[in-house]
Amino acid sequence: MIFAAALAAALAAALAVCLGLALGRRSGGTCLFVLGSGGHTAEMVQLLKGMLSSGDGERLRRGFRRVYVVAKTDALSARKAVALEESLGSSDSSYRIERIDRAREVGQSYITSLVSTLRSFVTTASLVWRYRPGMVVVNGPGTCLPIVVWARVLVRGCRVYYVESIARVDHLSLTGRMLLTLGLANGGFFVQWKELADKLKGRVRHAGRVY
Amino acid sequence: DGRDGRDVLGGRKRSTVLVTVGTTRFDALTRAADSLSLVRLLASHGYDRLVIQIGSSETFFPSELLGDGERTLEDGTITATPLDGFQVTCFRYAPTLQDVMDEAGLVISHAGAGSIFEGLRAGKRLIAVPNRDLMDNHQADLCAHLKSSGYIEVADVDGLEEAVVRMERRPVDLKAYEGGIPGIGEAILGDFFQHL
Repeated sequence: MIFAAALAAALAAALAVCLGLALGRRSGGTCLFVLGSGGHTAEMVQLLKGMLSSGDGERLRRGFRRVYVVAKTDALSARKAVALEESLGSSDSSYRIERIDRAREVGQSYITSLVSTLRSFVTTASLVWRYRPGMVVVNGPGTCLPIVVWARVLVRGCRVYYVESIARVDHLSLTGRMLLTLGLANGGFFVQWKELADKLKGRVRHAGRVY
Repeated sequence: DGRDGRDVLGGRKRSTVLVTVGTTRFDALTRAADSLSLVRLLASHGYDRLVIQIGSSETFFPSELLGDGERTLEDGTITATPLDGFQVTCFRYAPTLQDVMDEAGLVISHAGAGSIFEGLRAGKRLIAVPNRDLMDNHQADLCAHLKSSGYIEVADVDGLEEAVVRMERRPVDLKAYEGGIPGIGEAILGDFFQHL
């Protein structure tokens, strides 16, 4: 019942976006990167290493502060974000680590998962509202879904980019399928294998692999 | 250094075997690596060191290779010599696996994309072991793809020794992995500044 309500809410939000009813604030000077732990973080860091150190990446860093969203219980991802920014020579004030509760922990029961998922929808709304990111880059962990939904609904002009994991060779992850179906990645939906891009015929972009 | 016979670093044979599970917990693999039979097999192929990086897997004490006793992995690194001239080292994490990776002539890795590609980009001969206990076993897809493309060997936890034998028999068959193709970051920035 609650799950149906949450799903309906998500669909309503996506619909609002599709109808161009994006309310809320204009996007401001931040980029939001979600580090979902483990393999997700490693891929994201690898992607951002190249992206942020390129010519256009430097241009981005000059104009936009970076916000790294990590789970409170994930010290490793926070460290990797800091290491990344330090390797770029960034000043401390040019980036932020935002720690949030996980939407769900591995092995959590169904009922408590629903409750924590709903709670995370509230937390992430506040986060997105405060930072009004102009860019959001996510690559698949569950936490990214509410953030993406809120970014599209609350922030006018926000570009959302989704990069499916390099581990997904011939079919999308569940998160990827949902984002693609709801059309939430308005900036670009990337898959890292040509086989998968061909299978999804024109609905996704293929622009290489992070590894 | 070529991939013919055994990787050679400055004339010295790369005689280390690295078993790695990255940041994950993979008890079945770490337990399978803890095997005198496996060590004897590796020694017979000219290896003289086995490094087992166990991540957040359970400690395996008493252990076939490391002995029993008071030690725990909270101390850091444990080393033992279960066989004459063969050293076994075990730890949870290292700041970087680069040094061990450099010295490895063979890598046995959990089938996480990060670890597999880390090994491939370092030019290592690699056996990937999918963790069947993981949700939806998506690791198997990547393994199958990389194996059929000729980049890696794949083995189940139970088939480790057979995989090592297969690997030692085909040192030149494996394709060298050319590395990732950067372009996603560029594409993102292109779209972003276009829409600014």
